[in-house]
Amino acid sequence: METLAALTEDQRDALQELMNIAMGQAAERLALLTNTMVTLSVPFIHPLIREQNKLSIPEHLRRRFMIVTRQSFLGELRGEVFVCFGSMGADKLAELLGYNDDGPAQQEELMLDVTNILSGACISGLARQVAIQVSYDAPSILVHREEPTNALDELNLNEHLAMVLEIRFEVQAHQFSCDLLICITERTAGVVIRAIDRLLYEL
Amino acid sequence: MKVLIADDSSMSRKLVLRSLPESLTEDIRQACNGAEVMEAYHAGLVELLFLDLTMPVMDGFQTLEALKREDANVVVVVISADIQPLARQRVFELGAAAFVAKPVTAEAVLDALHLIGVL
Repeated sequence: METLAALTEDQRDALQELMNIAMGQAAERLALLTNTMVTLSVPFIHPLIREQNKLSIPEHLRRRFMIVTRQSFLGELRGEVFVCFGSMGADKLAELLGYNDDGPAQQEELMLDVTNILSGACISGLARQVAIQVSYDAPSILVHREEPTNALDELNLNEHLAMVLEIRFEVQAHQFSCDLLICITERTAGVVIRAIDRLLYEL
Repeated sequence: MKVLIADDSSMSRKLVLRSLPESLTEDIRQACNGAEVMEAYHAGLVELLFLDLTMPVMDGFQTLEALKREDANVVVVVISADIQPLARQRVFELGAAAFVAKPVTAEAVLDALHLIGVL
């Protein structure tokens, strides 16, 4: 956790701003897809805290997530994106996209499509700004619970993941929201931070 | 001209500041959220406002709404990463004079300032 512990206020501010720009691009894609306006949160960055191999869930994420999808990204920037949907996530998403058939298979396909769009735009947006290359694995459903619960409790995390960037996307008119947890490995977090240092130096 | 740059990111504020011509940096201040913008406005310190949309405490949309409610005589250039078409439309409805998408460049800021007649 050396890199993260050493993050200065300027580095954290710069990373947050780069993420803000990346999530703006993701929101635009979601907005075009759903023909709505997406409300963006201020991105939140913090070190990943584990209890054994589980994510120690911050208080503000202690909601009833029932579906969590995941998508890995590889290359000079490595890690995983987890997209967390609430109990009505699939129904609201189907409504937003104008789907009528809400069978389980279609719900999962919708979740995976949205995961692909949001994580692709966020990670590519970040990578582009720090001039590095990334590629993606296919997204998958990580947890799908029938009972209202916090599916994040079931996350088993790769021990190399170190940093979390949290973003919330919200479509108020349709009461839809999802939270993205972007987890970056310790080693490649260093690549991002070195790129940020170059940006700050040029200011 | 009294200029205020409002953004919760200090890096972003520096980038905007660096983009401005010298004539606009003689009487310039910075704010981290909309509440600070309104405070500066009420103190008579804002004629030209560079405004981010995604900020804590009071965001850019709320700030534009507050300025509109007070019929404020402030030229607002929104500088934001929120590039959704509906977001752009809303800021213009709320009285913004121009919109510059982040990541900000000096060219884009100067173009916007020329377009609205500030330069």
